[in-house]
Amino acid sequence: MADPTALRLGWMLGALALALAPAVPRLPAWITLVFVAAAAWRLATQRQGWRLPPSWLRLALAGACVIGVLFTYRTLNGLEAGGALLVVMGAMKLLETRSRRDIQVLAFIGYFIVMMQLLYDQPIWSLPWLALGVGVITLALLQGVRVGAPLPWRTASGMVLRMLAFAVPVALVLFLLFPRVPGPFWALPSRDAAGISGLSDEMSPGMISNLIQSNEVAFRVSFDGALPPPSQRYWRGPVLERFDGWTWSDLERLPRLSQQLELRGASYRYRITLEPHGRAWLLGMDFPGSWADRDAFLTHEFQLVSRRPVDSVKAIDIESWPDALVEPELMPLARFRSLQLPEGRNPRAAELATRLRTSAGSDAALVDALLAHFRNEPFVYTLQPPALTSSHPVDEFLFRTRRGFCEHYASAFTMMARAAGVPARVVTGYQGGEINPIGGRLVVRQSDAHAWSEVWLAGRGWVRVDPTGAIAPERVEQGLGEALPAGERVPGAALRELYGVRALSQGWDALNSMWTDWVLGYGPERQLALLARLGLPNADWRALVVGLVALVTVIMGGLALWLAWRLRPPAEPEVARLYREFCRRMAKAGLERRPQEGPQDFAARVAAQRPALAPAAARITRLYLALRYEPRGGDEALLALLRLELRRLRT
Amino acid sequence: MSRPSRSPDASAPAARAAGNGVRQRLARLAANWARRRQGPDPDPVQLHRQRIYILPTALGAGYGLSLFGMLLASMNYNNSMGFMLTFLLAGLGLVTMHWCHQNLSGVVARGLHLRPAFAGSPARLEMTLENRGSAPRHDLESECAGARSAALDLAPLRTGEVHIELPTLCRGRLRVERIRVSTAFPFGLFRAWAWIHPECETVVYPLPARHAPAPPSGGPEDAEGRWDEHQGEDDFAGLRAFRSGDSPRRIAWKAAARGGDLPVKHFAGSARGSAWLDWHSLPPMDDEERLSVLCRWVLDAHAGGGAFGLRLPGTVIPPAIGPAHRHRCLAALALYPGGSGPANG
Repeated sequence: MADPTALRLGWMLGALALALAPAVPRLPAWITLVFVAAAAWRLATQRQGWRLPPSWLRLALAGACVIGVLFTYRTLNGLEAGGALLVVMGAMKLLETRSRRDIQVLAFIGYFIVMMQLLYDQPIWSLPWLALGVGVITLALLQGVRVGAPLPWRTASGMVLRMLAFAVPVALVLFLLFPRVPGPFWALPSRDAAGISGLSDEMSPGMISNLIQSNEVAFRVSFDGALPPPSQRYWRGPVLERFDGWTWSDLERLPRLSQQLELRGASYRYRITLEPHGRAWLLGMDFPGSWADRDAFLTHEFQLVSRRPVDSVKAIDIESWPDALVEPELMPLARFRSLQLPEGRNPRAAELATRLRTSAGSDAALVDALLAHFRNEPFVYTLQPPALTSSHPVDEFLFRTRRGFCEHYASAFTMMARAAGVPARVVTGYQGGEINPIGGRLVVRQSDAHAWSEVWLAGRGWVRVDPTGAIAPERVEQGLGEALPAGERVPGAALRELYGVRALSQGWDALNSMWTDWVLGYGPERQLALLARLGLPNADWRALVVGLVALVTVIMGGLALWLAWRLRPPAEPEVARLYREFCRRMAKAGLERRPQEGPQDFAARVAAQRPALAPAAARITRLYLALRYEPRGGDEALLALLRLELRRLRT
Repeated sequence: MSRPSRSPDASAPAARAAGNGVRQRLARLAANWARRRQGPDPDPVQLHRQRIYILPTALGAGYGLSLFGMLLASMNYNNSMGFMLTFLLAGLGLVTMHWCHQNLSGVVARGLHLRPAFAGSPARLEMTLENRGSAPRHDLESECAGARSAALDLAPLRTGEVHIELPTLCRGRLRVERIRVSTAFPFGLFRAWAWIHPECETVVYPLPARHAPAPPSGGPEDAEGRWDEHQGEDDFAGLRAFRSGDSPRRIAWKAAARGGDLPVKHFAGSARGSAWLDWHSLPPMDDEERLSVLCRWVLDAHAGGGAFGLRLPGTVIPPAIGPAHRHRCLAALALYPGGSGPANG
């Protein structure tokens, strides 16, 4: 392509394609198609010398695209729709790209596409991808806005690399020291939670066994000190109190009204780093007593939640007391709520529960009797339970299928406890987790999702009862993989269990957790911690700004020096410097060399006007001319002679 | 003799159209301030650091706004990688600013001169830019009075020629107030520029008449109505030293080979005597038309090669030959007082 405009367009198209590539799987196919078609059209017009599409056509196309986006997403707001809009606008811009300014606008759109991708997803490779994307778009920008012909490829990329070499330290300084204002300023529509796997605020049979198909990391925990034993690793998610016979669901989250949490026993301090899940819950371990986050609060069900959905990686420091005494006095309203049952559903289960209560004699004994029932009857813990079809699903499960996953057991247990008059509720969350020997963090995956029960016993408050533990104690102690019957496997786990793959995946996970902890989770707290480590405790944003400005100034000073050094005039050869010195001394003696005067003419004039200087001037001039215009090996001696002559020169 | 003078700014229609508005006035104020600060410039002049100005372009402002938007989005989503991108681009912007500044800093401008032109055709401003550094410079643009040159790249230790075609409208004196050498390299986010205030002017000749009456009789015309430039060479009158403006055709090359001053063949006037191009020999007509016709005559007479003189009210230029003489005559016409048009002002 000799045509410089085609070359510029080609560069920019390549850069945009690169920026767009990771977003393609997420975008509706038609948007990718629009972009590709626009690019092809624009290139063809350039190649064939066609006219660009007229403005009415471009306007019509742009309008159609906006309507298309609106139709696809039902909104123009939010990350997905906004990103799609950005892409189609880029495509439309391509169709009218003519001038250098248009190319610049395209480059800006390219930067925004990169931004959109980063807002959406920040895996560890997004950092090199960011650098590559910015580098290539910048290269295309450099070529696109050149007034002269495009630079050779190597020259241009060398230039961009050098610019980046100075821009990257600036970026790092800004990243570390730019004052981070905690929290958003306005509510942006949060990303669509449907696409993200995670707990939900309701539970019906099959939901959790669905969730555990996902091998994704839900969160990572690094403990400050000893790890709690596996039987205490219950990560508290939504607490479900309302039951309609089939589904357990959440009541509104209310701030805790009474301070009925008596912290006692051993406590564990840890930092939990949550992957974005689009919901508000923070999944503290039972029972969170203190935490360092202004947005977090404890609900009346002792669940730690945030005021804002977790849309990006979130790290929070929590201290939990597993043996805390929770709500020793149950208020009448709370008691009413945790005894609620739908009228006329699951009659056989209710009847069994009342029978067991009568023979047990106390609430605590009833709990044991219920667990014994699960243990003694032929119940099976399985990932693939038969579907429950009747309108009395608990009855069907208890008396007919007897095969279920944790949600079946938690649901049946809680329902029966309620039927027997014991306040009870379902708690969902995660249980267990895998310790990564590299870095020592506990990695909790979606496959660790779990559901259990809590019953309220007089004098003991809310007590956790995990009916799954009665059927498959391995689930609680060793994780899902060990608890499933032979022939059933946790999806994705087979691969992970190969030795090499396991080591690799642990290394990768350790890297990822450092990434989420130190890069993605870098926020105001980490910033202050960093300053404290640098010897600036109690630093505030002013210290940050001062440090920021100072460091950026130093880097920019380095850049200015380097640029000036690069553009320095080449060193003058010594012979020229010596001759200049000669001219200067002559000028001082009243004989100034005129600009048009050659050395020989000047020597002649010196000889004519000051005969006393004639021999010296002639010798110096001869030496100068020989060194300057007839250079050959061994000029060192001549140079030394010239130096000597100058030293001896007396005006 | 009055000296009709005008600045090219005043005659550029675009500048006049946009002459209202605060922006224009601010630009003028800034330019005047720069002029007072720098004073008139020698030739050659080095564009050193203290005289380079730099501001973001409209696009650069757009870039800044985009970055601000990205920053807000990153804060709102509390997104580390968003911050990283924003800061990387901000760093790139800062680097660009320095790069742009250094790309211009230290360039040397010399050999500034304006070539005369005929009214209506552009006057050519010529200038040499020199890179004394050991790294290349890119996209140096020069402009003067709304006219711009092609962009220039300078390899290390190289020079480049700049031509700016200044539009002219009418005869008179054309003075260059200032020249702007600028660059928006590398990304067009910033523009660094330097003002040069040269002592540089020229004359704009009147537009030669397309159809001119024949020059008065006694002119050096032969029977075919054609100038014969070989005619006068019969009257060789000896050699004299070369003077600026002599035609190379008249240099005595054989004699020159012997060394010494360049000898030029000297002729004792044309065979039929010198022609006088006389203001009063024309029938009554408008002054400007008269100047136009005289201009045509001067050009024709010069092309003929014979000696000619010019007589204007108040000015008499004795007969002579050569490009210098031609310029003298045309300049006399250009600067002739009176007439219509803004050249008068």
